Amino acid sequence: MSLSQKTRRWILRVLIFLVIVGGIGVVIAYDKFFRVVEQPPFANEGERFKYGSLGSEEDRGIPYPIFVVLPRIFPDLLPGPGGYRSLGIPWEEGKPLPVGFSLKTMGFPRVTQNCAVCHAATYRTKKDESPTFVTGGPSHTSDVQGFLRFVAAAANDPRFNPDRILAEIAIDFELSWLDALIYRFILIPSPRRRCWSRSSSSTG
Amino acid sequence: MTEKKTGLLAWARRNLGTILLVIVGAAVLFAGHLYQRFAEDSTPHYASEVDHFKYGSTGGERLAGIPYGVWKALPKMCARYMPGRSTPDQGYAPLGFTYEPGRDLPIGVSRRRTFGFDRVFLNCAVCHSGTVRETAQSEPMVFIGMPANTIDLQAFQRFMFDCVTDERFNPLDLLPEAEAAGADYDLLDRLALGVFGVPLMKDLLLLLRHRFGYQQANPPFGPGRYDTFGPAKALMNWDIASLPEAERIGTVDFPSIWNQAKREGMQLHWDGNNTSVEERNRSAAFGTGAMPVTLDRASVKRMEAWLWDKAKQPAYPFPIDRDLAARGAPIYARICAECHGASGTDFTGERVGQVVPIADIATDRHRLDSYTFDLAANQNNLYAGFPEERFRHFRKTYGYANMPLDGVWLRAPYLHNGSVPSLRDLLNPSRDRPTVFYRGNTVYDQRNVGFVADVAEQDGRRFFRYDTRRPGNGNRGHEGAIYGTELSPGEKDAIVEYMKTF
Repeated sequence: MSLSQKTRRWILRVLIFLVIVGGIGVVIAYDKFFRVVEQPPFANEGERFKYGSLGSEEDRGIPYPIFVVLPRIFPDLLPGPGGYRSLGIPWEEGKPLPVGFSLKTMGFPRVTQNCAVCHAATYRTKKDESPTFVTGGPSHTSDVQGFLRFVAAAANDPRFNPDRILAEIAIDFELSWLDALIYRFILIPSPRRRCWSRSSSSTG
Repeated sequence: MTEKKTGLLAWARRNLGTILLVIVGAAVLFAGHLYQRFAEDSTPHYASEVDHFKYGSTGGERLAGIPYGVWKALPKMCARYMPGRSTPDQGYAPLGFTYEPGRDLPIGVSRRRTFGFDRVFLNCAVCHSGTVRETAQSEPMVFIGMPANTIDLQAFQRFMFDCVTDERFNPLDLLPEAEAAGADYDLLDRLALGVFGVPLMKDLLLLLRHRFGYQQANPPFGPGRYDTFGPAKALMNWDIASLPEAERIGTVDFPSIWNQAKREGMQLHWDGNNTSVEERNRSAAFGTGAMPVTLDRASVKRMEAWLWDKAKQPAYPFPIDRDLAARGAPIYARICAECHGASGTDFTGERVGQVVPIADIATDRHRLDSYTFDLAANQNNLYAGFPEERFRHFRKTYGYANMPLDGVWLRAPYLHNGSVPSLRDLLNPSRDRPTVFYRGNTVYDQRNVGFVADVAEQDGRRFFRYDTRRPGNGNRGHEGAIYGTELSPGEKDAIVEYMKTF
């Protein structure tokens, strides 16, 4: 038994098509989810300690645009006005992220935490003064559990849906057509699923 | 059976290909039309830099643009919400907007075709241009770049909020009004406005009304003033009403914006919270609806280039007593120059553009306290999606910044909160400064240098009663020997005369 030449030619064509489509898919998937971009060099080891990645992007990481807009969508889940600052998390003026938070692209820009989230202290010598940052000191003002609970509570909130979040992201970010789809169908639904399981095990 | 070759169906069957072609062709043409119609993004080009500043777009219409016909219709439809005894044909003039002859839109309002409609919204000139009259009977002189002295943005806001909550703010009532006001809508326009345009405008206005609600608890701003960093908190969706009381009032006088190149690196804004002219500009542009994704970069760059080194303060248009001014020059040099610069064009001075601690300057501290370390930290996350443009210069300070005094004669009332009506009053200790005065008059007070501030009402127009005893309105500070308030009356007159040359 042998397939006719015509049929074989068709099978070959379909296979080639699948390989090409699959190949393109693999390249896109690599580019959008796995491609690692090293963080820009840090001015010194102190900066690296405060903002360097520990390499946990594979396991976790909040997409940076979502991290930016969460306090604006869920201010009622924070202790008060001030965004993440309301949790006492140190934030140096001029920096894109609070101390102890790292921004690194693995496919998409991911925010993860590092050692400095618990080990960077701030102090002021008088009320009318901006804080001095001491790398390595205990983070005595940071409510780290509060941060985790905030993220979990947000992820479990009905407002945590693609329409609401993408509308807020659109104020600061210009997502490409493909990225908007990825956020809508993968990145926004997935932390929700993950936080469901995490919240039931850690905050209950 | 005989075939009915004359039936419509049979005819269609015979010409199926042609019919399909016509349908597909029509669909493609219609889609092309829709695309062209709703994707067009264009704004008028102005040949002169001055006109571009007055009427050019920051891009804010893409977010906040009011359909032109609706803009025209509102003063009529919502006439009852306009302040004072105004008539509907005055447009937005009762709110302090200035119309130039031959112009359909007032100064500070720009126009852009976007999402299928001509839409209008505010630009920089709304807060940074004003008018001066020699007497109550004179024609107004328009000065670009000076602090707006008649525009009452809070009243404009209130007018829009009142109007949007009126039962007639719905497509059925509003669209015929817009057409009566000159708009020409076809079926598709009416559909787009009825289903999307008007409801979205309503949503946005109600959102702003909610987020700016905290302002109700604060003393009214009056013309020429606004709480400039309250909206930054509102944009971040902070519940401002739950902030500590000291942080809730940040009302300030509008600044002049000439000679920006000489200001780069100085501590800008009243409390000196930013040292980058470019970043400060983009921060201010938020007020015109220009967000990171809506900002028209090319258009704003053109305005910035003009403000950078071409926009200069206008010369004092009234007579100056040269002898008296000459006597004032050395006194100014001795007392004022270190902090305020050698002259209106020479900004050199050891402490120019730097912050003086609040304990030393001792002026009203509400504005200072309303800008917090937390706000600075969060503001540096604006433009997060555009890493090259992300804000990084905002800093919390603990005093008010020394400003250069270019065109100071046009910058009345004085101090950051506009609490002292004239330069001559500012040279008096606070106990001798007016406790209550009126803002919004454009008639010039040549003797005291400032606008006439003791007239409550003129030609049916009521001015804003400014009470320095209310929170945020304090007129104390900037007083004592080093601030010149202990000079003799003659010396004070001489300094004031000299500062007319700035």
